[in-house]
Amino acid sequence: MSHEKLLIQKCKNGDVEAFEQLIESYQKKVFGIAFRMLGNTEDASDVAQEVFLKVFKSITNFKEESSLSTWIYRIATNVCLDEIRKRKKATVVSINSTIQLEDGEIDMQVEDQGPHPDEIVERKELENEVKKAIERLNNEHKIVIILRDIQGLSYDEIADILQCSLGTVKSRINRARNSLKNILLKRKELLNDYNVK
Amino acid sequence: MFSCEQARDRMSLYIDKQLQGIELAQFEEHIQACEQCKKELDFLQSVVKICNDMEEIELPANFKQELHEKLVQVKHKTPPWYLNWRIYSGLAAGILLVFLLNLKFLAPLYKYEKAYVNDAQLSYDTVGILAQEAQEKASGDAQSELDAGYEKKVYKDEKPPEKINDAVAFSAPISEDVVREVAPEEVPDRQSSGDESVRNRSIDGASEEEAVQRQIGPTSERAAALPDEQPDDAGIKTQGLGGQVSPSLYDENAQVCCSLNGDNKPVISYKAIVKVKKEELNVLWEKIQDKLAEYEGQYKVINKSGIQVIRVSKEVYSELEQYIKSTGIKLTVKTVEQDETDNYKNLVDKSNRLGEQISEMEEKLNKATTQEEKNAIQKQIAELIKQQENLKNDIWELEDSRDKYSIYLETI
Repeated sequence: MSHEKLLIQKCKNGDVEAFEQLIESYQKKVFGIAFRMLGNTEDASDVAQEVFLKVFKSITNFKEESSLSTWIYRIATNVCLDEIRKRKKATVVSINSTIQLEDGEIDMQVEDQGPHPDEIVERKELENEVKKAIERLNNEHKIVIILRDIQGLSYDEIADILQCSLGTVKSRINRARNSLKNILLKRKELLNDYNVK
Repeated sequence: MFSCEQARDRMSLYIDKQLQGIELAQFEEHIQACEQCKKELDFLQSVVKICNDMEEIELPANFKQELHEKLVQVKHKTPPWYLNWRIYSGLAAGILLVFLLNLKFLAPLYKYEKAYVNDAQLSYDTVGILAQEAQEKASGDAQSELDAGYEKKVYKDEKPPEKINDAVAFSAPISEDVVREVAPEEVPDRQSSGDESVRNRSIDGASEEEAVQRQIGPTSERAAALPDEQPDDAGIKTQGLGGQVSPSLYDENAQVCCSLNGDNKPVISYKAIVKVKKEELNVLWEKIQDKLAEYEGQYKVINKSGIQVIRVSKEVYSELEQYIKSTGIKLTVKTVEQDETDNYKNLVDKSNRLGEQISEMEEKLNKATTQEEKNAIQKQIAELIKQQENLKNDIWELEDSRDKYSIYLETI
């Protein structure tokens, strides 16, 4: 029996230490997904812990038909999306205006005190811009960008995680990247306008 | 050669090295010839690279300690499996059920009555639904795109059930020869005219007697062999149902057509309608949510026309169904088998036809002389591609629902 299978067997008997060994390599990854979906450390920490608690509680029923990693990522995705939905009902958006863009992304028109457009091409600033742009994606697009481009999962793994077909995954990744590109380009335009003023 | 729209649709696939053969050649040809698309591709590649290189986020300092404490708390609350009373109550219920089903001398005293007519006809207003879906997607409702079922059906039940309440009252066992399991090899011979076979069962939570007649769908082995696990390489045949397949949609059509044509597997899904009194609906829903906690990662909650629907595999469904029966709440469960094969074929045909139209428009674009004419044709192509995209979403939704059970809770 492989080491992982042995650990899973121990976990089914409620062995906490075995469980912590099992999830060691997944903790940062799950936390990373939660952080990028939710946008802050506190919420990401709560959600990531909730994910692992759910994994621990339901490992007895884990049938090992999918791999452990896709199962854990699936739970992480579902918990993140549930949390965002719960929050949506409670949160009042307090900004001046929102613009519904193509594919449902929301562009918030906010006064920006950020860098000069010329500086934006510097890699570090571009990275920050990309991070901000990812935050503005809708949930469906955000999760595929995180799973594919940040976590580096394959199309097949993502299809298994999201429980959808490969075709759906391909389409979503394409649309998500297009949305990301549009947000970045629009932001560049906004900054250009701001600079002109 | 590809149009700009077609090239844009394939940029992600190109970046992820998913393009091959003719499609790859055509894409690269377009990129070499089109400065605008080349710039876009370069930009997209740099954005993807930035995402790839993002550093892993460190865990907060007290994360592991907090998690450990919570795990220990959970451990102390949850008994190991051999002390779990649910295991034994489930075993006891199972043994009792087998015993009762084997009481053949009781069988002649009961007569199975179907409260729901076997040959109820359903028709689907698919065209209207597709148009509505296209409109909703165009309005860019992100959450509905995530949550909504891709296809909303308008059921026109031409033969309504005669007496639904009879199903509640009925609680008789059935002889074994009535329970029929459909072997996988039988399935391709089945009529795919959109008829549904409806089986009605009454469940009395206090009694384990039940009447069951149902066709059990494809096995998990078949489900595991679903075409979307096939590699989408050039080896896949492109003989679509509509005959000619547009070479510009080689990859998508190969995959979609192969889903049906490659192995002729029908598209069967199952709807489990649980009817309960209004005052008990919330109680039942909460119980089901609690139970679902044991199946993390094995179910999906989707939103169909504002109703929360739980989608699960056949194996998980049979366990959930047992659980629902054991809650003690008075309810009925009706399992409806939905043969979407024809609907699926129609959607694939439509998608193929759209592909042909797109090719024709591209040829027109190449021959266009004025910028005005080109703009108009490009606009039409974009519209056709959007329509095809929506159709593909519907097709993929059907593929996603294949062999799965969707559980609906309704009030009596």
